[in-house]
Amino acid sequence: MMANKHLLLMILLDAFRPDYLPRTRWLAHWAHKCLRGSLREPFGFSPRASYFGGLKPSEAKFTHLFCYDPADSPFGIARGLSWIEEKAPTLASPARAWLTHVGRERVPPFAAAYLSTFEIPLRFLPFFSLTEKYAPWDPKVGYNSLFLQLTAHGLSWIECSWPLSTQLPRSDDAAIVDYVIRQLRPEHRLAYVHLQQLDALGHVHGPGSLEVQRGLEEIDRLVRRLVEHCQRLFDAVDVLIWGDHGMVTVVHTIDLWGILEKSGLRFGHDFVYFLDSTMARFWFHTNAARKKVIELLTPLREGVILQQEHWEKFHIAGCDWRNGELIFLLHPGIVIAPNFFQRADQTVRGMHGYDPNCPDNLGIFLLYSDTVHPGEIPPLDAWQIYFTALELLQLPGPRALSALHMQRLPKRGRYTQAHLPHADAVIQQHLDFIAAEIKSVWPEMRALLLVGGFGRGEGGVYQDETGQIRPVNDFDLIALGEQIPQHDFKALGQELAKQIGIDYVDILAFKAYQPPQASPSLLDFDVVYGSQLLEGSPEMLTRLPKYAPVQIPLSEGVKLLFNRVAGLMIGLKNFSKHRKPDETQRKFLSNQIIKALIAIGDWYLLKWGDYNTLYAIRRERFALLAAASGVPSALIERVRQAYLWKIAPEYDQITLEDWLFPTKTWLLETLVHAIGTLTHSRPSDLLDALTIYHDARRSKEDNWECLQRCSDRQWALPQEVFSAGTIGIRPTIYGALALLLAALKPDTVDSFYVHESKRWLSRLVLLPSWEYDFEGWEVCREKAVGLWEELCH
Amino acid sequence: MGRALPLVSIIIPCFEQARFVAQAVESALHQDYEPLEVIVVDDGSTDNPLRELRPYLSHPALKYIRQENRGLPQARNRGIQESKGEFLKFLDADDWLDRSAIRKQARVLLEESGFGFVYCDFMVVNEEGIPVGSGGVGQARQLLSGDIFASLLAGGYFTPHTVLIRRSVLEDVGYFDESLGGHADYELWLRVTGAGYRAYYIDESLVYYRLHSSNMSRDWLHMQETRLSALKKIVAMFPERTAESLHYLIQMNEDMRRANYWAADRLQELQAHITRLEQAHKHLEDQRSYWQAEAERREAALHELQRWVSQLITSQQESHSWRKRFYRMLQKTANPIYQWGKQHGAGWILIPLNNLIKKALRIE
Repeated sequence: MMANKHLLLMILLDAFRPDYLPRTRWLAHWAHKCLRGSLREPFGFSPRASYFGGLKPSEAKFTHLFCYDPADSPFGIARGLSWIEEKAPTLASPARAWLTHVGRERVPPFAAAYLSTFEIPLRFLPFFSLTEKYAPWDPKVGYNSLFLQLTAHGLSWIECSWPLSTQLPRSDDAAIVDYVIRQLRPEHRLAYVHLQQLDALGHVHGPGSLEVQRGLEEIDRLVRRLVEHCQRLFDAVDVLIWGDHGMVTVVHTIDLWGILEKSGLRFGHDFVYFLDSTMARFWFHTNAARKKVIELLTPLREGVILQQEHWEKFHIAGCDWRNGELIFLLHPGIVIAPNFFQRADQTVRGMHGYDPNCPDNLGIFLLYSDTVHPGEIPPLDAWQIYFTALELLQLPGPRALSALHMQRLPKRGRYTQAHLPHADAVIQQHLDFIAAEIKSVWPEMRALLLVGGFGRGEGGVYQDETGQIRPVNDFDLIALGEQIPQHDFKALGQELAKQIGIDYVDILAFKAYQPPQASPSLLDFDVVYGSQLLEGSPEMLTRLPKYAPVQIPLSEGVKLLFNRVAGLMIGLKNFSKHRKPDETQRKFLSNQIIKALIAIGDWYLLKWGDYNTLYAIRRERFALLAAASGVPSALIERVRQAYLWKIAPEYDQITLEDWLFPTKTWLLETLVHAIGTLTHSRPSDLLDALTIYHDARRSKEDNWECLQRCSDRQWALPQEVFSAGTIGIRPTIYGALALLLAALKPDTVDSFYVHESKRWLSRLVLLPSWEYDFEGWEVCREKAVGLWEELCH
Repeated sequence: MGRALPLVSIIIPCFEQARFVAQAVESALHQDYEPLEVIVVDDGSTDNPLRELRPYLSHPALKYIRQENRGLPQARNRGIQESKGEFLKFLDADDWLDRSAIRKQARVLLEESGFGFVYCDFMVVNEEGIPVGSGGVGQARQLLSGDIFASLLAGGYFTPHTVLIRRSVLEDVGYFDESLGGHADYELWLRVTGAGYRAYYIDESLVYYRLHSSNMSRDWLHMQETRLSALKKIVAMFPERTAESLHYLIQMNEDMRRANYWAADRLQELQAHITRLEQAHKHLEDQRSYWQAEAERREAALHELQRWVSQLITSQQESHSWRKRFYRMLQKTANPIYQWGKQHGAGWILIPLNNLIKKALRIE
């Protein structure tokens, strides 16, 4: 009887972040059948000993491709050419090519495949040697690798991976998959495939880029092809897919090289350093040099000198001295520029190699096997790949570290992550009720989509005084059907909101929802990546385009900020007079404060081109990147709290005294900054920014749309203003609201801003005359909010 | 308060250098570092250095010792035996120190416990003490600090007074080899580094080295013999380290040779390129000269043509006026005939005749 043909397919997807998964089609669907999680890269940039030997960095001894080792340097010849870059720069390029050629003769083939001088100065080269000289399947590799164990057991395997894959006639991912498919035989027990292109795309264009999106679509296609081919060829296929690391959006650079050059210390004499993109490693010849470098690095906000606890935490405490005597690690989102891999003129938009625990630095982990139940597991360490593979290959070895034995995470709630009993059931009841009501007025409705927080599965709920579970803020729904009935869905939403006890039920009715191929609105993005179908066929969600975050126009972010200004202004009804809102108003205002803070975070994420629909991801990403780009820490903390609050709201946490005015200030400051970014200008203050925005965004088309929307309005809008196009209705309303918000002070109102706001509003409506006091502020607020609700919401 | 600074002993062997010794002692006593002791070991000089040293003999830091002439290494060793300092410097009587030399070097040994000795560059001066250039210690070898054993084998001389060494190191490896004369210092540095002590180099000329007719280093034969002896001794003492160092030096030599060949090839290519460019330049120059001459020739021809044209115009104008004059003369001459013809009814024939004459004479 022939033995079963059983394959373990190991696919390394270079720089595949866990949150890339929804941006694929086949993989995203297939992942539901898998054990899912994320993977922490081993500290540094040399992970193969972990994957194939189960070694931690402290056991592998080295964490980087280059180490300080003048005696073993393959670039010794550069000693004789150290003068070239200074004296004969035109010869530098041919010298590098020759040094690479000679260097390759001096190392084993595996190291030769990746040996390069990169951008290491020629005079520095002879100080460095390569650490990873042998392939994991080479008996000289120094550990008993997975490949060597298979060979010892008489089992055959196949691999196509970096760096040797670069020697194929074509080394793009499609060619690699073609090669593996051609070479794969039924007798193989293991196939290891490394698809690399996504890494370069992430570095050059950034993780939220369109190029990465296209790369993901290609990866999706290739992985599907490979998996399906293997499933046809073998009786059983286990598939282990992992991303070696993630990709963090770069928002800031530091010229550490320049700082070190000016230190007065001499390279090679006092110290030696190696500048990677995200860390600098040092070796000292004198205590004075060490002291000086520590003095230079300590005050830098861009990173930290790793202390003993870091060395322990990152498992590098036992590494070879040549790997680094002192390490300065940058915070996520920051890169050293220039460094020994990138010149100063090479822009890098994505990077990895930070603290391995940084969420965006994590890679994906997927395990498919007939014998493994799908589910989610917490992040695993890179060396657990080895132990998992060992178990899947039924090779002897410890099983405790295998992913198969990791405790599963609790199943995520469908609508909310709040740890309240029956919360999902309560929301389901509300949604059933809403769906039934919509159906009662629109029986022909074909589909109903739930978007927003609840659609993404992270809607906020709280327990009121009576112990009842209540949803927070709003339900956002999109109803689709052939013929939209002549029904006021806005009014229906308001009525339903009242009945449920929620601020809003927003119902949008469409004939057919066809989002644009490019430039999606935040709503489009939300629908594609964060919605659930409550009614209708799931087919309709699979046809939606897959967007890259960078495709969302920045104007969406500015609009979001303006809308949050409006939200606050609604919540501030009569606030100037009483300053003691009742419970309902306090809750409403708390919601608006939270939404305003989230909008600030969202604006930055949009600006950095790495927006995500999930609050949990936005929260972590914003906190890291904002710290990297110098956003004030108080604001970062509040925005983090706001994202968290949205998932697990607690009204008692928010005291208006502590939250309202700082949020107001931050929101308006961010608005000025956002308008400057959007219009490529440098507004001097809020009024200047609003004027710039108005001038940039006014358009006849927008005005006509406004006029259509308010055909039943109660205001006499001066017709000639709109047709002439000199005034933009929406920018004017937004401007007036922002000015009114700016006017509000803890104990008074600023008459200048009230006056300006009145001036702006008077372009659209007649206003009574008043003194510039609280009353005037309230009259203006009433008018502006009314206009916003009619024309902008 | 930090701990008291360690005593530094400056040992000055002196043999027939009475004319210079005062300057050496003066520089040693007036360092901006304390505590110091200066030990002058008179190695049986016949030129009475004591006379030169008399002004300093009362200085509490100075110690004068006289012995029968035994040689330079022996004199230095005597100085070591007589000294009490934690750090030692060997200053020859014809050289001198910069005021900050001891402070700067002692600071390194104090802060960097990993270094056995510290050394620096030196300034070469002539007999009159006028600087003539740096000793170039920093340029002589690629590896200047750390484990410099291999690089020392390859050369890169530095004088004894560039060094400040820990007494503990000398107690460990021994003093100057008294049989090695001019290379006793070189052998000592090799022995110290061979034993694993690291060195630190300060890239500053902190000491002065006087060139004069009686420098021992001018005795070429002696220097050759003593160097060979020093190296033989080191190879015997540290065969493993020497082999490793030679391996490194051979590899470095090979690397440098290949790098030089490569650079020479590029130079040759560049030279060939320059030659081609020069040829092209010359060709273009020739072309330019040719076309310049051609332009001048054509300009001259043009001038000539213009001259001809103007001559022609002139002659044509002259010829026209001449024909006019001739015609008027004809008219005058023919007038009686015309009058006669008119009277006799034959005037009509004279008009075409007149026109014919005008045409023949090209007169409008």
